[in-house]
Amino acid sequence: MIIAVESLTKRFEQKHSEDFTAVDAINLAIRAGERVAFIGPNGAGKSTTLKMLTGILYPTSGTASVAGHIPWQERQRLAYDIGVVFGQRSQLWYQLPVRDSYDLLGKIYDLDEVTYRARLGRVIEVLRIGHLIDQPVKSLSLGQRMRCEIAASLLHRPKVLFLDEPTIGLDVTAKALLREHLKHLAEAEETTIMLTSHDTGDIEEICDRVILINHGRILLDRPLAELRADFLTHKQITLVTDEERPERLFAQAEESGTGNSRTGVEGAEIVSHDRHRVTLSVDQNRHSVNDVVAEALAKLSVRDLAIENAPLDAIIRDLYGARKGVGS
Amino acid sequence: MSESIRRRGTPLGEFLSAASLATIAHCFRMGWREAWTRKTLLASLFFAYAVLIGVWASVWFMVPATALEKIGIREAEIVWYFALTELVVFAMGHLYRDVEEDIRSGQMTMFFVRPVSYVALKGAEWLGHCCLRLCVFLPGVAIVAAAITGEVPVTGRGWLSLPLLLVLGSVVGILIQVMVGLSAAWFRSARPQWMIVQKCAFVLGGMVLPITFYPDALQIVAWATPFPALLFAPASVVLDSSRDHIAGILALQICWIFVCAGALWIVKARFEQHLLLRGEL
Repeated sequence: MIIAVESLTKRFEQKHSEDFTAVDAINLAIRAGERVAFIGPNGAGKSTTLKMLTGILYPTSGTASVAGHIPWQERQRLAYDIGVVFGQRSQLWYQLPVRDSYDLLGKIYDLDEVTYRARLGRVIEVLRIGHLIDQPVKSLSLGQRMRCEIAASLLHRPKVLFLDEPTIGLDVTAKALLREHLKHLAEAEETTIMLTSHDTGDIEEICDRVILINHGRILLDRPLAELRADFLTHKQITLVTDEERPERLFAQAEESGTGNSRTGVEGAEIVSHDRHRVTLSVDQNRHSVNDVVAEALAKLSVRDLAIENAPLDAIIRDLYGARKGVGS
Repeated sequence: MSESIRRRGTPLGEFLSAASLATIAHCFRMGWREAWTRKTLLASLFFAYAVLIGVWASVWFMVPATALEKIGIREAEIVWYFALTELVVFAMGHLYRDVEEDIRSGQMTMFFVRPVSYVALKGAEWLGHCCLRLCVFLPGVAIVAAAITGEVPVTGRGWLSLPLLLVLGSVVGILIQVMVGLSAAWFRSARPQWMIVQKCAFVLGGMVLPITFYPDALQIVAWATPFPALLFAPASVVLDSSRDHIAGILALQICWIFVCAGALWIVKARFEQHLLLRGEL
């Protein structure tokens, strides 16, 4: 196992209240090359676990091994084997060209010149950042910067890559590009990925396994394929139209008796609506998103259209329901 | 790839290894280049610096020359002395704020997942900023001070030793500022501590008047602090550029660099312990 965790616990002492247990005796085993989504609501214990696994936080009790190192005892040695991307923190020098930061990282990780040049060429090729690396970081868009950040984390070819909200703040195109590159690189190099994200798109497109944590305890640990069939079934479609009250299109269908759900389209529900906007939730097991969109485009004058995954919170609520069901 | 990486050894060996020194040297060069890219900041700093010297000179020009003669210094010397102490202050900048911001924003954690010391990288970066500013400001201020006073009271030996004395003084300042910045981990903010350090440097470092003119008791207190090594030492070549004096103040600076580096080593170890127990600060 590249990551093995046993009974890992972190309890924070608090002066004016009871001690707070952020991580409560969790166990984990992750094989080399696995891409794992580590999800949970805010305050669930994700970041605390990641900090212990990257060696920047001592646990209260328990053991862990990452790439053969005990993280909090061998932090500097571990650093050669892991890469870390925190979505809102940068490792690039803002005023200088990206290449300068890469050169510095080459020195930090003690890469000889030949190895460094070869590796830089490889990440430039895979992440398609050749046209960016001689530009100052301050001139890059957020999406471009994030690609460069990920390249920076991969320069020393880490065995394990920890990603904390890597697509936060990116537009749809930049997210898609980044996910594609990350998955491609991880597959090609058998890099183990441990990812935390509130965006189910990151989980769906990068990971093959999901671990759900809340109140410091692991509630669920399953392959994504199983989870997708059970929970990641809903898409949200938002339509902005020239017509007023676009939800009537679907309501009319219901009135005409062509459907048997609230919207008149089987498996679709109206989540919200206002004067020129309607948001639908579509159960993909029961109805194709394409058909709903095609129907809307045929009957309405659509000014804008967005298709998103169901919010993670909703999925987590579903997962809770399932866990409680199993428990009872 | 991991196998091709030459692993560093023990903490001290790590710090002094060729690889670490190469990293630190690279970081210094990046700091230098970064400071050069911010030309507007450089220009505005130099403008503020030149105005300050002008104001200071006009104050001293109001003091009768006979009064200055009594304490054994001339107008031109006092203006040049002040220009050189201020040069260190303007070149150093506010590194402590950068360290404090790294702690507050959590950016510090990005350094802790790397196999090199945050303090070494930060110090090297700011020494790069500082050296670039010294290189830009020193010729400029020499012209300004010469234009104001009509003379250059620094000897050839003084000019030769000045770059080294300025850099060593800045190293003392950088070590102190990193300690002040790291103190934000315990006090939530580094600003109150910096206020105290700044005032002590002002008085005990001889910012406006050479400490050799202080009363004996105050001189004893001043010499027991690192501040003369920071400010008085480089500026004192205006008053005395004899071989003995320069050797003495160089020894003083080197001594204080070792003392401050030792103190920083302890503060850094306590800081890391604090960070590793609490995660965020």
